[in-house]
Amino acid sequence: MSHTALQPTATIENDLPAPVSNRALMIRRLLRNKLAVAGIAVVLFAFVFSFLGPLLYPTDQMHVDLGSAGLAPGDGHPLGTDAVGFDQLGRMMVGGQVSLVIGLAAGILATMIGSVWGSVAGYAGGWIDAVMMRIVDSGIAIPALFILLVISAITSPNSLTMIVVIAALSWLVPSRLVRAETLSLKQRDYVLTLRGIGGSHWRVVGRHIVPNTVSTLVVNATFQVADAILLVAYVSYLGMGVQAPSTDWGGMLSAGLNAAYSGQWWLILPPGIAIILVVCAFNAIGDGLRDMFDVKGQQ
Amino acid sequence: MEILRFMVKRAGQAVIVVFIVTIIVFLLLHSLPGGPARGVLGIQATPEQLELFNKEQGLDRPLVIQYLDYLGRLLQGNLGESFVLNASVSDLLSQRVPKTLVLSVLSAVVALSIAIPVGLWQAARRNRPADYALTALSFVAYATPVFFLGLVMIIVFTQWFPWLPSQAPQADTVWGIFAEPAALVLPVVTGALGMIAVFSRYMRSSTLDNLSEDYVRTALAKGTSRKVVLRRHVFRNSLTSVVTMLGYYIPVLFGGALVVEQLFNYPGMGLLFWNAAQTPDFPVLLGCVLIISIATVIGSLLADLTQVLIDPRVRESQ
Amino acid sequence: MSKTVEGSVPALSVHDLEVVFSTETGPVSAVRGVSLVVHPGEVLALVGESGSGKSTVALSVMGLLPGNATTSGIIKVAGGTIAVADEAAMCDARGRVMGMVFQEPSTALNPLLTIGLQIAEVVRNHDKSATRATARQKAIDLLTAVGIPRPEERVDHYPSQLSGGQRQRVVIAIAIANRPQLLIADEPTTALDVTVQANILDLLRTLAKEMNTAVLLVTHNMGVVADFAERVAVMFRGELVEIGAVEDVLLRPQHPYTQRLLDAVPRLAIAGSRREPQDPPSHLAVPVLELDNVDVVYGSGRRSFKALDGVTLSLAHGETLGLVGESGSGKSTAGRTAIGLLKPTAGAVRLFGKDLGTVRGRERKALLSQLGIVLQDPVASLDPRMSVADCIAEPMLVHLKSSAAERRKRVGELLDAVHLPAAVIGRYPHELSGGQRQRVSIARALILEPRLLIADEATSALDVSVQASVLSVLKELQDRLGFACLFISHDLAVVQEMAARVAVMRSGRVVESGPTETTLIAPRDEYTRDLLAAVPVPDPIVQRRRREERLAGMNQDRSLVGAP
Repeated sequence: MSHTALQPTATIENDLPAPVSNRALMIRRLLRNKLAVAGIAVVLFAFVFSFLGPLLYPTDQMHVDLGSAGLAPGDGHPLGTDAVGFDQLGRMMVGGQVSLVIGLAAGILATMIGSVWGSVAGYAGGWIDAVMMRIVDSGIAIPALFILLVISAITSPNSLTMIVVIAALSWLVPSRLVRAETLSLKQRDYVLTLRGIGGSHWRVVGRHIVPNTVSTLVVNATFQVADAILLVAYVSYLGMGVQAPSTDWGGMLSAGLNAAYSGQWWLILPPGIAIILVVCAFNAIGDGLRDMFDVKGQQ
Repeated sequence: MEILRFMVKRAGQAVIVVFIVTIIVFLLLHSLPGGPARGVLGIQATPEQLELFNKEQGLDRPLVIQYLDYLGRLLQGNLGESFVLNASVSDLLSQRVPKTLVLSVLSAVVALSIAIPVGLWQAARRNRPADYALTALSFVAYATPVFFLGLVMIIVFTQWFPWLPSQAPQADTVWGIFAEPAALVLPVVTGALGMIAVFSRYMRSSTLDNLSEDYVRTALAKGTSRKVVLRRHVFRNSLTSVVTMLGYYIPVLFGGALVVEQLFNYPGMGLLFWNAAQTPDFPVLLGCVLIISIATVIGSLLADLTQVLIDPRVRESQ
Repeated sequence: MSKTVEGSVPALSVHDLEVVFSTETGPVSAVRGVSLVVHPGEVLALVGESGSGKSTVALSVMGLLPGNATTSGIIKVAGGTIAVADEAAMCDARGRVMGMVFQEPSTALNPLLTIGLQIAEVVRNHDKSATRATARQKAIDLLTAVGIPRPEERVDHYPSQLSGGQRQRVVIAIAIANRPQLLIADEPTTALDVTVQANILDLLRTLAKEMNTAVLLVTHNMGVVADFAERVAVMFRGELVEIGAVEDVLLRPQHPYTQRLLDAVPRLAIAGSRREPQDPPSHLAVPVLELDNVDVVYGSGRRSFKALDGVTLSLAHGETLGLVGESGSGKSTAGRTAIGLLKPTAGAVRLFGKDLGTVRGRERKALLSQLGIVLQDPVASLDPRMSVADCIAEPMLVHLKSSAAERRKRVGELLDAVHLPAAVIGRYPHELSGGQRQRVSIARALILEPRLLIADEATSALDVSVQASVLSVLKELQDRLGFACLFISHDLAVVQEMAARVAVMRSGRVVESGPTETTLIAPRDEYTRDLLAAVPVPDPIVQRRRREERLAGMNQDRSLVGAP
């Protein structure tokens, strides 16, 4: 204030509060949520297990070995072997890779599609919004699992088509969320001010609306990933997942189904528990992030 | 009058939505490679046989014509004939849908009658050990795939403790289903668990939102006890948002039925669909998806109507 | 003046109250060692700015503090000690010996229950013999007592069917239903328009007198204090700094904080205290802004709503035009139409002589570059994800090709101009106070040296002392830079201070306009007169006279004044 030309005419409060790092506060909030911390640990472990595990514990997941089929957990096979002789622990790693990659990619892709669709609809408003939202309503009315079942029955899906199809079926909820958020953001005073002085739509959307929906999107993407992992498992369970010898946790459950009735618990418990743990973990992280960002009204 | 106008507008939207659904599903099915001929006739079929099948079913015509033809018949209430089963789709659906409804409605009733009190109870005890425990439990319930849960239930309750049958009722009539109540237990419970998880979470957060509303403070200032405030004021307000959610939950409910029916061999629409998907039997697939979509649309319409009826604010703003 | 009845049991006594909130960032002490007494039939005003702890004191008395609060000290209501831990005793006391009126009538009532049921609830809570029917009859009587017309019919209405003022009357009916010894009113009129405020204050005064109820009035508005209170307690940062009779505190404040606070209160100049007239602005040049017979209609068909109805305004170079009116008068709509955010349904808007409805592209952008805009909400007016420097520089990015160094230099100059330290440059909006944020908004609005500034309720959300500093910055910069200003506000005293000319709006029309010192001192229009009469001035002696005049006027012409 040394070079001020004019003296203030009224008492002006100029003591700045100590800088509050929002980031530090938010991270503290997240870490206080024990479920979220546990979730992060579980997800990290699942990735390390699936992708680095095979380096430490190499197994043959390509060649059927009927000689060592259906072995109970024991020497050489900590989790036993399945009906065609694959080592179950090694299979968990391979299956985990597929489940995690498809889930993560589909969840993120769905959120991206949804956010573009929702923000365009919300920002454009009027009849464009009406048409776009009727399409979303229609999509929500179509049961995803049914469509997925049909698609995978008719085509032989690989990981990539599964990602695209699951994303194409799950972008609807994020699109609604982002639309609602956009509708409220575009009435904010800072947006009105910018529009009033002639700022372009591009600037409004790029500099103000998109950055302010990021927290909603991150939270939603986490929930989407959890749902996508579940959806992959369902499709694989219904016998229409990725083709052998590739597999995922849902496919392993499906394959172990009959053996499970005859007491081979090691074929279904590990993949089942893995799915539950990872889905729980992503949901817990999403919950923690929501508290951290203080985002309301999701799930 | 205002309510009527609102409902007419919403019904109009609903018709448009169903119309778009038919387009999406029809195009999707018919644009997939392969087509039904090979599935219906088997791998042995000659190209001539395939061509003949396509001609008979009108599958060789341009897609737009096929769609318009389908739509035209749909408007007359004709859903077509199954490629595989010797029956019309309408007949198949009218046999199967009521059974699926019995299962789904039972599951939903069980789920809601547990989830709503639990969510309310959790909100009243937020951030105490009981709340944390139930939250963790609902996370696990949400994350458990229906088929895995069913599998575990079958192993536990039919093999370890052989108390219950592993097959759902096989009766032909809706009343026949109720003749075997024991056989209904596992399918209904399996179908309900995921819904309990979703709706108890939803009820909990909705109640918490309402607890921080000003009107709660006003009620307390009148000398109403916290318990009564929860019951008399917060409960109804929280329920309005749960009702809306219920409308959107219908497709998920049917998705659950698909798996449950397959798992417990229950001859409902889900099993019909699952078998039709193997072939693929297009008219049946289309018919099932259409029914579910219409159910969803009607569901959210009813949810809106309920909302209008219980919430005077919505009435005012219309 | 304070007619303390020695020896009688005080309606409220607070002794050495301390309240600490445990928050994410550690414990926050909200109330420190507050002691006060309110006697039966007496009105004590608890005043202070936001964060002073005045509402916390009120909620402590009711035992309605949130769960993260820890209290110590002794609170007695009508002789009985308030112990929050004893839920049954608290339930018995709330609504019977003490009632509370809240700030926000739009959310204070349960939207799903009829007002009759909500009033009956408090009756039946404390009178177990009351049946549904008798409670309903009591509700109707109470609605009559608080001046709701057609109470037999209204009793079955939902809160959403009532206006804001009527809802507040219902909240009051609930608070007084069991003739409590103590009535706590927490900012009871802050959310209301000034004419409605006057009626609600009249109602509270009448009821309190009739029932000999003690009133603890929590407010930030010195005019309300002067109008209603007999004694005043001033709070500052959790402590009680001054307490005394209303004439003493408002007219002869002792504590430096009270003096500062009262200095900052904008005072409505009234007839007899005429200010020196200012030079009339020259109307020779092209007006910077013209609204020519503008209509704005929302919606269509039967449900359309005319927000502006034939509004004509004109603003000359360097002039400040005040646009005043109550909520729903269309003043904000007029502001938004003036800058092209809303398209007029009929009529024309001319900015710097060019018709906004016809200019397009580069020419339109060039016109808009000469505009500066400051809107009401200090929280929503800055993007929370942009640093202060980026916020201020944004108009330069929109309109000029400039280097980062040029922008930095210009931002520095503007920060200086609004008296913000250079250190705020890298800060984010949430790290600043409301007043600081509003000065950032002003800096942003002025960075391109606009010819016209639109300020829509620019200081309404601020505390008075902060408002005073923001207004002085604005005036100082206007003197220096010479921009014209459309100053939209509901606060007549502020408009008097800022604007040379004024236009009064009601239901989408301009009912009266002219130089401030005639229009707002000796108005010709009936509505302007009512509006002015309803504004409470922070001088208890003057205000008492004004109130009597206003009530006399109302009695003369009852037909004009229904319940709000």
